[in-house]
Amino acid sequence: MIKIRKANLDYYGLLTSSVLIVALVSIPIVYLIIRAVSSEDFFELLFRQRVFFILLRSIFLVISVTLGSTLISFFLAHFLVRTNIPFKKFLTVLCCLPIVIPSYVYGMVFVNILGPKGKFHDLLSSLRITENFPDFYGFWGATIVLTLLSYPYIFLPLRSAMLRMDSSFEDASRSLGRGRFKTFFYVTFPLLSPALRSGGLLVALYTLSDFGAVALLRYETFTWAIMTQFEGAFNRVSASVLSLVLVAIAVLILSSDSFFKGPKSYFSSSSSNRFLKSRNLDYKRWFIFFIICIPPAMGALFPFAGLLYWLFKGILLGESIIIEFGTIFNSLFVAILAAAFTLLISCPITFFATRYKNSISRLIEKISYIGFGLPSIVIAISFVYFTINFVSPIYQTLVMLIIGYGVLFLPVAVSSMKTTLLQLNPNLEDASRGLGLGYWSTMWRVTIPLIMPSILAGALLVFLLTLKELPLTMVLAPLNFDSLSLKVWGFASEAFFAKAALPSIMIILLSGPAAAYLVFKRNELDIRG
Amino acid sequence: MFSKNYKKIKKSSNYGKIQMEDVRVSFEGENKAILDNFSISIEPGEFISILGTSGVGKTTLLRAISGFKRIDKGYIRINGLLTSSSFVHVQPEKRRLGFVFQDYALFPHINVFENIGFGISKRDKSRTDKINKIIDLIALKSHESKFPVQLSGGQQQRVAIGRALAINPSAILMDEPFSNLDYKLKESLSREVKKIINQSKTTAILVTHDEVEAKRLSDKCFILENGKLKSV
Repeated sequence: MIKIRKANLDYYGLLTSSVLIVALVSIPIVYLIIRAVSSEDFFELLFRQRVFFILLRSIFLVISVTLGSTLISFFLAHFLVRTNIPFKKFLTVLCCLPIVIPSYVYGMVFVNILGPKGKFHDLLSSLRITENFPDFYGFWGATIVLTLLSYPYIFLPLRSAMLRMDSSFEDASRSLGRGRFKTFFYVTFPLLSPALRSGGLLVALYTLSDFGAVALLRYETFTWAIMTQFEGAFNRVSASVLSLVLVAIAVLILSSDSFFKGPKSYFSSSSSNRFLKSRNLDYKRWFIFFIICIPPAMGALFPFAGLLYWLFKGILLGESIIIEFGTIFNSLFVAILAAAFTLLISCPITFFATRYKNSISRLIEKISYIGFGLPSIVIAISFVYFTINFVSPIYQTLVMLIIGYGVLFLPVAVSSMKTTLLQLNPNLEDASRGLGLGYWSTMWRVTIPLIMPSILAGALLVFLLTLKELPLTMVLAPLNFDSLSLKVWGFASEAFFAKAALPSIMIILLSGPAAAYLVFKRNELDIRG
Repeated sequence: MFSKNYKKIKKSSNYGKIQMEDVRVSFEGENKAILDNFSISIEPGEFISILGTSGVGKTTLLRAISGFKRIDKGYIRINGLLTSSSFVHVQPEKRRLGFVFQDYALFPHINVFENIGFGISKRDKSRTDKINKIIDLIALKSHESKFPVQLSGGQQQRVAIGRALAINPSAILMDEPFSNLDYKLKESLSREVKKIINQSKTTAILVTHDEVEAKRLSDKCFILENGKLKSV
């Protein structure tokens, strides 16, 4: 009798806290939708030619970036896994570097070097060949920048899928009469498709929610249009209607069932696993080596070199390039607070979803993923509307900023913890309970220490993402609050590139070690549920 | 070339014959041979077993015959035609040999029907009949729309054998196909396999470390030791 009551207490404790957190996550979004739909001008604002063109532009960009990233990732993963290319580990590290570059930093470097009147443009015009040089503003510029920054989101799961793939599937196909090409088409590709699909979804959502690169490269997608409406015209109904369309596209992308389920594992886990054979490239391997270097060089080394160039040029020209300690402190402070808060709210949901598998826990878990599916600008605007109307004392305070980050990055922490929690041998907890420890004591003394590496990895990932986050910081930060990302944006949008270089480099250096740990030690970059 | 002349080859008296002469196989970049001066001749329709401990080269032998592993020297002839030597290497898909893998290697993304029909061209008008015939042979009539993960170990094993037989191979090569099964199932399935292979009159090579199983199934047994064969 006592046991049953105690079990119920654990259940209802977790259920209540999970419901409260999910309410925090979803109520502002629901409010935004209700406000937009109930507006008198809703249909007039929605069915405009402008909205249609923004929609087309956003979809074209999502498709082109996802396709481009897929092609690059396939090329890189194939040669790095299945051939005897030299310096494989070094190249793999190099290929992941673009992850630490914020899109607004790359956009800024790209515009300054390859844009009209940029450095490369000047060089070509001095050689009198400017007329043939393409204009990299707009669609092509945004595609190139976002592809080079987002391909690691496909490359990493694809590489690990290729590494885990059992070669006997390909051997079986060839023994049944299918040649190399047909074997790739009918066996290898379908077996790799879960990894491709999950990586592709990440890239599609990354592209859809990007604001910095599209704004700097003047390609009007939903994020830029929403921000313009919100900041410039301060037309709140129009911004919320545009947000609603953006929500619809994100939901459409997320509607693929596999997203919530995670990638299906097709790969044999038997002890007789034969891994894919390494093909000998002979003399061609050095040629391929240099081709493999191109995407990471363009995605990470090129923007970093551009930043260093501006920094040193600025110093040599005597520009006052100072970065206030307060700005660095603010960035680190909010990133640490956001990581701690996100972890705190992710614990009840994760435990509830993994320990009590029922329709309520599944629904709660799905709602907690809203933050990842929706662009940060939509979350930020929904919080502004909600707080102004219902909890105005926290409007434009650090509390609201931290809650915003918490909602945005909740899925990151949940999925990081959930994976390990699911793999945890339940007998360990039972053993603890059998030795007389209660539910909460067992959790504190057995479960949490065992999943601590995943908790820390989740926190590190939230820290990293908060440091780079721009649109949500722009909208929710208190007045006179300065962070590294806001500094970069402020200088870059006024073309003070030398001044923008130092905070950009600071972001990259501060996030670099965390990203390196996550990618190479724990392979935790995949942040789906 | 090999598969184009298949109809002619099938009519020849050598159909199903496998010959290996002085074959040497080693791992890439290593001098030590796994098989050295290895010779064997298997007559059409014969069922032979090769016994040996782990790591002795049993799987390598099958992989050399099926073309997944190149040989350093010697000759391998299948159906009387040269398929492997130090300068000739016919690709595995051109050899038309059915291979049953230790872990079965059933394609997890397609159902039983499509797994069995994987090696039969979709343009083949009698494809469905051929697959159904195999499904009857392996007694999995009501399981054809199931995916490999929905089958038991014994059913998966039967699908693997059916898939290998569906291409009408000149020989079937089995790499410890019963090692993942429990004793009872192993015994009943091995009898079934023997029956299926006898019915199809296909040459068969079984590699295993289980002497009882080898003797129960095959016409001849050999032991592989230090890269050489000994008769049992």
